[in-house]
Amino acid sequence: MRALALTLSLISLASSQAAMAADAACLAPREATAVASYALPSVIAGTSQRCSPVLGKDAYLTREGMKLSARYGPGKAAAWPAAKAALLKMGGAGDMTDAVRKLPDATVQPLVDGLVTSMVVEQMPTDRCSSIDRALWLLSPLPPENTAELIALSLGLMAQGKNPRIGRIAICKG
Amino acid sequence: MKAAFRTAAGLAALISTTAQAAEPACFTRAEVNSLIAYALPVVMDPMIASCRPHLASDAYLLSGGQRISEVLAARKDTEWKAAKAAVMRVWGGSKELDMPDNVLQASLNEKVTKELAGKLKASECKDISAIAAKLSPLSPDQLVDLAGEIIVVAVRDRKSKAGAMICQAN
Repeated sequence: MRALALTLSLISLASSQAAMAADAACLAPREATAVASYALPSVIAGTSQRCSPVLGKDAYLTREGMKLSARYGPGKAAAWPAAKAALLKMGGAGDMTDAVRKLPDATVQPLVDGLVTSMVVEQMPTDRCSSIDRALWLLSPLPPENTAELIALSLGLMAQGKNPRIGRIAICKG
Repeated sequence: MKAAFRTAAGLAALISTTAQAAEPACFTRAEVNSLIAYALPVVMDPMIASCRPHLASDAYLLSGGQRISEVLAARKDTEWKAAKAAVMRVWGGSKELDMPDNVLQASLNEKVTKELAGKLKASECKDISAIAAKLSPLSPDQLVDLAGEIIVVAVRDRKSKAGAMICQAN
């Protein structure tokens, strides 16, 4: 969830105007799911980079992290249109968002991927590496599409709660 | 879904009814897993019965969920011993725990069944079945491990009884 929050905060890094929009807007569970599905490979790759030195050579992330990231890669293309729309929504109206909207996907995608990875590498608290390593190992037998659907179900349930949020990003109430 | 959580909490509360105030001792990950492995079929059987009227006959919970429950129930004697030993170690003894195991187990089953009977809504049953279906590639042991990990992470750093109950070193 922390990784998802980092991902959803991407646009708010881009400008203060976008940050204000991120506070005001909410993402529907399906929008947040699309962002999560698109960003998962980069999040896993970033987590591997961040945590491998802390966890040591025998850890799951050290041994299999990049392979796991690659396994989730094929789902990115299908998730991208909805993920892009959600990220632009979080950006709110403004010149920066308009500029990003006009850029070709081939330009925006590597930018988003790099930002997600570097944010995880820079901001993931290393005292969580052990738990994340174990959770990813436990979830690794699941096909990527199952993981995406579990995220969607979890966000849908979260949206039924009181004041649903992931970090500073609000999830629209269901 | 909330009913399932209430049931799990009720199960723990029942065991600790007359237990003393929290000791510095805490449940290790292995003990958490034993508690879950014992509790899952205890919760799942009445959950499945309660959900049956709300679900299509081919819903995953009614088939795959039942299989998982049966696999775990087949070793309930082993898990019971480990779970009870963990409860005794962490919470200390009580009159209720001094009962014969079969009486105590029957009492737990009855209370959980009563808690769940007819209380799960159709939407909750569909959510439970959908989540169970997505987790179906995991073995029962992997499911227990995953549930244990979720609990350990959920209570970590919480300044509550639940937080103190699970060893932070887990």
